[in-house]
Amino acid sequence: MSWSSVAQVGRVRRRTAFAAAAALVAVGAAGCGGEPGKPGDGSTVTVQAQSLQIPVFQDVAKRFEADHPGVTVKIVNLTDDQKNTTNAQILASGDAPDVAIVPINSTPYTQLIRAKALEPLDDVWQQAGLQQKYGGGADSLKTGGTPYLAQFDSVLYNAVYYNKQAFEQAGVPVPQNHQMASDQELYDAVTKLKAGGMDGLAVGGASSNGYKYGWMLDAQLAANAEPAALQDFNSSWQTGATQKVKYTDPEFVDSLQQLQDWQDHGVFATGHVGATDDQAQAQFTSGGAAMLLGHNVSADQIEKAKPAFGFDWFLLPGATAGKPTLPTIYSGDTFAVPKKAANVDLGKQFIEYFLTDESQSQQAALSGQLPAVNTVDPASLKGLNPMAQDIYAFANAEGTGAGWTSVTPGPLGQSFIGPELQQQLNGAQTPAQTGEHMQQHYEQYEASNG
Amino acid sequence: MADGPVDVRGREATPVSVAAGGRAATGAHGAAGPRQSRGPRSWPVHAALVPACLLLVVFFGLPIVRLLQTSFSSWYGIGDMTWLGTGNYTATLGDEAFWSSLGRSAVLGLGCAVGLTVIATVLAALISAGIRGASVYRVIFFLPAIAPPAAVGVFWALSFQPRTGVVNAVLGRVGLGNTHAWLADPGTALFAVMAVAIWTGVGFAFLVLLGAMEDVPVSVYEAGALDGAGAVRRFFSLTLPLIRPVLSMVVLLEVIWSFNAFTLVWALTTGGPGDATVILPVLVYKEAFQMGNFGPAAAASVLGGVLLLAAAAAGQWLGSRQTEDA
Repeated sequence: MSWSSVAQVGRVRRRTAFAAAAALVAVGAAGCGGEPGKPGDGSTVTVQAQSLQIPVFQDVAKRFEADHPGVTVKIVNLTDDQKNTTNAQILASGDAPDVAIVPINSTPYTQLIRAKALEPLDDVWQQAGLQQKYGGGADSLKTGGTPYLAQFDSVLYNAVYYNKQAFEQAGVPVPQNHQMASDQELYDAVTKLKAGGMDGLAVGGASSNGYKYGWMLDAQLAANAEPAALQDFNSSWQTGATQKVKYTDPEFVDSLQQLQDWQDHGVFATGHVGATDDQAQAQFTSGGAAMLLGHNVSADQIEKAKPAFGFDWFLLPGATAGKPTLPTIYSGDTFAVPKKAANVDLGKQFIEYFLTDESQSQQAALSGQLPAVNTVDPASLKGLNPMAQDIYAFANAEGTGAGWTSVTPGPLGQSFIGPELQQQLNGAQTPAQTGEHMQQHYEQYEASNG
Repeated sequence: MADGPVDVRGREATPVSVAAGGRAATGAHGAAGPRQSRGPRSWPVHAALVPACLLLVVFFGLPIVRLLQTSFSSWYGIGDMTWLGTGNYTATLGDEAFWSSLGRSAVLGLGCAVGLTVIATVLAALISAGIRGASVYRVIFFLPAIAPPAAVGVFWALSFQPRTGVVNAVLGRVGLGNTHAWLADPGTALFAVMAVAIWTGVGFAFLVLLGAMEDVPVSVYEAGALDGAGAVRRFFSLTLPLIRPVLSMVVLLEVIWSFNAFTLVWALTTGGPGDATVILPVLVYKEAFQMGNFGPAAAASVLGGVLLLAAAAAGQWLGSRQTEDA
């Protein structure tokens, strides 16, 4: 190679190096310079949806697009874990969706409210008449009197599905009016089932930090605590409120003790603390466990697994004999519009569209979810699973329980109590100690949140 | 002929120091003569380093600066940070959960490193000795290493289930019972995680150690054999000392990787039951994303990072000493 060609190669390399460096600087600058919240072109509305709900979102999207020519709905998947953890960072970024799923009892909701990162939805509520359509629960969806959320479905949880054949073969009587009246009745049932080679109550105790134990605690608190005490647990975290009943008081500890008693009497299936929701459901549908803790949508999911037995549902007993639990109502599937959304108005229009009676009826048929609005009667919905309708009819007749983990902020309630109950049920601490830990955690929460 | 090193043309060669990055020793220290790296040709070399440096700054430097900033602040994950000083560090160092998680991380890191290094060394020695079907085993042993950690976690979470899991099914078949709740029992959950981490990590260690063993000259073994050393003696007296630098690097890497095995722990147990498998990265994740306390989470990350750096420095020092000894 001649010296001139060497020099030429050197020049080319230098230019290439400069070009590469410049390109990187440009990429870096582009990455750093995203302008959050810049107006969108009004042609695409981006909507978060969870996998179970995607069919109904697709259906609503199709009709929304037909009614809004030139607009495309883009559905982005949101996992259960993201919904309760990292979604706040997504919604506060420059790439925020226009319609987000933000449960009121999740950590992201607390974070987004603190950062004033959500659009008030007063106009949506007014336009869709949500104050009336949500009925008595409407105000619980507001923060400081302002609605930042719009509930789009209802869930009734704490239904226990049971294997009818297993109950019959073991000689366990069918629970009257879908209720186990006392602990003794439950213990007798489990003893007989185990003698017949079946395991007890399958619970997905490992999923999302043991939130299923939080569910059972919700039902117990609603059944056992005095209404004033329950009201205090559900609201003492709010700004300006003063705690009247402590988590170390019997009103709370008695319900923890109830779960412990069940554990000590072998009510739960083997390994429930380490089983995920899917594994617990598989234990039940494969015939290994005779009972499964679930919600109104679980009936659909169990049917899809095509179990080789018939099943029905009942409610667990409360601490006092003759005072069983009720289905617990969850209002956590809620829409929000991030302030950094590119198409705020379009996002609000989509929410209004989702809350029309037509969309709410379709939702029941496509995803098995109960409607959020009282203008649609689940009993009239042909597509809704009959067992879900049965649970709804029961709740309508007998009432529902307010879920403590459903209404307290995630960092205070659900995220904390699940692992604590895992510890307790594993014998690492007593119910009284769980109550003490909860009280300490509450005081820390209050100290840092006012 | 000159006494010093001689190049191929018979001229006296300049001694080259590996530690000095291959530069001539005299020039590198600048004691005599101009530095070879200076001159008209040095700046393209520096320019070529710019992209790598930029990447390091953007993807490594800036996040570290941001992490440090967060660790001295009160921050909920979005919005403005509030300067707090050393409060997060004081709180973290006084938090029992931090020390417990650190202990679990250390147990997991050391347990995995020791366990999988022993297994990988034995496997590599067998393959290196040329057992029958060595080429097939070489692939089989490495297979778990290419599986995604999340998939590994889901697979083993199912396998550890009482009654239905394959582990219990096998134990049941041999009369040891099929109802062990490995992941639900706080006494066994961390060891179940450790077993899976060893299963998934052994392939990489095996491959690296096999490479090191195959680099040992055959003549060394021949000399050992002539001296009357048997296979076991040759392994302990020749193979192990000669691969010690690689062995110490493998142990160090595995300690660091297992210490930080967030994905595997999350997929297997999400830190449960209770806090039985909450290692430091899981604690950091929970504190930040489930509790919304990013300040204490960042402080715990920094403290964990400093500890790992110290461990890495100690490991390197030990490794270099071993090299000199060897």
